[in-house]
Amino acid sequence: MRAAPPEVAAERARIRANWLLSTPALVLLAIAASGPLLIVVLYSVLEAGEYSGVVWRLSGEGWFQVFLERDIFDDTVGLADAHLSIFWRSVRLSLLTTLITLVLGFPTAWFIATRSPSQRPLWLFLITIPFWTNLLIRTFAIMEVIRNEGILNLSLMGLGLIDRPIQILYTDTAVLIGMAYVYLPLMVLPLYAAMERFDFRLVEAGYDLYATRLRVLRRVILPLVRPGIVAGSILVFVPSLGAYVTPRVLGGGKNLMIGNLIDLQFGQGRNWPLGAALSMTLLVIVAIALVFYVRAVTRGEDRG
Amino acid sequence: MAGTAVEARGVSKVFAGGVTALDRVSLAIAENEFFTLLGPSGCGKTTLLRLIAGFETPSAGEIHLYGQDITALPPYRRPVNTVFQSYALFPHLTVAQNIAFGLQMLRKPRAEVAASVADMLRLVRLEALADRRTAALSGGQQQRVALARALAPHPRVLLLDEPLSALDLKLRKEMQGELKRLQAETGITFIFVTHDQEEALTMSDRIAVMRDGRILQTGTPRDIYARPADRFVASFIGDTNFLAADVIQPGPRGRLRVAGIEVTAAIPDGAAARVTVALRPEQIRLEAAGAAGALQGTLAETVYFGTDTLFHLALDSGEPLSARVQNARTAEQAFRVGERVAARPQADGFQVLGD
Repeated sequence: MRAAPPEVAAERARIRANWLLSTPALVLLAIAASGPLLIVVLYSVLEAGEYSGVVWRLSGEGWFQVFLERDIFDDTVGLADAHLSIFWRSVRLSLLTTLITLVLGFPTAWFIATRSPSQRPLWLFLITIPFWTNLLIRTFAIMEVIRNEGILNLSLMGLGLIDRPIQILYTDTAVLIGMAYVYLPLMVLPLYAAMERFDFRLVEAGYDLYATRLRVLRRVILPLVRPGIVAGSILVFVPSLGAYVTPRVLGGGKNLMIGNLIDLQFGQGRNWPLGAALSMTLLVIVAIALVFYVRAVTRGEDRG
Repeated sequence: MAGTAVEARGVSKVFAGGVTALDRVSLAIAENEFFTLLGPSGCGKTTLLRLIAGFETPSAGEIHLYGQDITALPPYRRPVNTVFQSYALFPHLTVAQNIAFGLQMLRKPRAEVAASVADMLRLVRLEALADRRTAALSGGQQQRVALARALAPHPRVLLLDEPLSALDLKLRKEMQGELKRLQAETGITFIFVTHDQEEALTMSDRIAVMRDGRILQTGTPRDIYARPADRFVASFIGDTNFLAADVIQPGPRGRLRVAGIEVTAAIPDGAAARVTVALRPEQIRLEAAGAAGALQGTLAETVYFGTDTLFHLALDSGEPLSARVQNARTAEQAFRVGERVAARPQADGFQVLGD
C-alpha cells in the first residue's frame, strides 16, 4: 500500500486546522449556551437547601411541586392550582400581546415600507428610539399614564367621560398594555423586512384581477409577508412568556406571570429546585408552542 | 367599423409635482381591434393604459367602456385585464393558481374555474407546467402565464404594457406571432403599449403615435408609415430623409422643387412657401450621375446589411440623403464611395409634413 497522495494529506491537514480554529467558538458555545441550561436541569432534580441553594441529594420534589401540591393539613395531593393559573395567564397574555402587536405593527410596517427609500431609514430609526431607554423606566412611565391619578384617567374625567377613575393599573390589562408597548418594535422590524421585499405591483395585479382591497390583503399580501409575521410573532411571543419586569411593575403582586413565579422561588420562596423546574417547564412550553406554530404555518404554505 | 370598445374623452393626467403626463387625449378604439399606443418613454402611453385599467384616475376627462362611463370605477370593477411589463405573477401560487385567480375573485363555480384554467393552459401551451411555481419558469413561459391569467376571466379589453420588452429578440418575434394568434382566437380587443415601432407596425390594426402626453397621429400601420403627419412621426416610424422644398403650386397633385428638381406631391392648401418633405430610403434608386429628373450628389458611404445596402449620399444642395436598395438588385452594386451618382425618387415618394 502506498501512503495517501499529497493532495489528500493536505486536505486532511486543512480540515484539522479548521476544527482547531473553531475550538474557541465551540468552547464558548458549550459554556455559554449548554452550560447554564445543564446547571438548571441539574438543580431541578436536587433537594432544596434550608435557607437557599441546593443540597446535593437527588429529589423529584422540585418537579412534583410544579404541577401538584400537598395539603398542609392532611398531606393529600392535589393540582397546584396557583401554578397552573399562572401558566395559563402567561400563555393567554403572551398570545394576546402577539395578536395586539401584529394588529398594530402590520399597518405600521406597511406605512414604512411604502415610504420612499430615502425616507425609510428615518422611520425605522424612530421605531428603535424606545430601545434607548431602560425597560424599567419605560414601564414606570406607562404606570404614570394609566394609574388612577394618571394622565389617562385625569383626562377622561376632565372631559366628563367618566366620573371615577378606571382601575387599569395592577390588572391583566395593564400587563397587556405594557407588554404590547415593549414588544411592538420586535413585531414591526421583521414585518418591515418582509414587506420591503414585497413587490407592490402584485397589489395592482390583484386589483386588476377583480380582487377587492380585503381580498388582495388576504390572498396576495398576507401569504407573501408570512415569513415576517412568523418571525415577528416568535420574537414577541417568546419573551412575553418569560416577561418579568412588566408584570412585576404593572401587575402588582397578584397578577404573576411565569417569570415572576420563578423569581419568587429563587428569592423569598428559597426553593431553587422548584425555580429550576419551573424554568425548564417554561422552556418546554416555548418549544411546544414553536413546533405547533411553525407546523401550522408551513401547512398553510403547502395549501398555497 | 364595429362598435367602440374604449373611448377616451379629453383625458388629462397631471401628477403630483405638476408633471403633465397626458394632455386632453381623445381616442376611440374599436371592438376586436389590435390597437397600439406607440411612443418614446415618457410620452404618456403607459399612463393612458393605467387610466383605462383604473390604477390612476384622470385629472380631467372621461373614459368609456362600451358606452358606459367607467372613470370612477375601481380596477376590480372593470371588465378589463392587464398584462404587466414585469408580468407581476403571484410568486406564492402555481401556474394554474395564477391563471385561476381572476376567476376565483369573480366567484365563478369551482368546475367552471377548472375548465377555464385548462382551456387557458392549452391556449398558451403550458399544460405541462400547470403545477410549477412561476419563479421556476423562463421569461417566455412567465410571459405566457401572464397572458393566460389576464385572458382567463374573458375581459372585454386586454391591456398589454410593453409585455415583450423583457424578452430576447428571437423570443420576442415568436411572442409577437403568438399575441396575434391569441387576439384572433379570442376576439378580445387588445390595447398594446410599446416603444418599438417595428413591433407596432407588424402587429397592430391601428396605431396611435404619442409624444409629450399627446396623440400625434392615429391610423393603420400603412397610413402612418406612408403618410406620417409630422416630422416626429416620420422619424419615429422607420428611417426617413428630410429635405427642404419650395412649393410651386399647392393641390392634391401639387408641384414642388426639391434639391434642384421639380416633383409632384400632395400639398395641402395653405401650406407655407417653404416646407419639409419626407422621402423613405427604400423609395430611392441610384442611377448614373447626370440622369434627368434625379437628385444629383456624391456617394459618401455604403453600409452592407445582408438583404440590402444603405447608401449615404451628399446631395449637391448640401443635404444628406440615404437610399436603401435590395442587394437582389445589381444595378447599384457598382457604385463606389466618392463617385458622383444620381438618386431617383419613386414618383409618389415625397410626403409634405406638417409642423
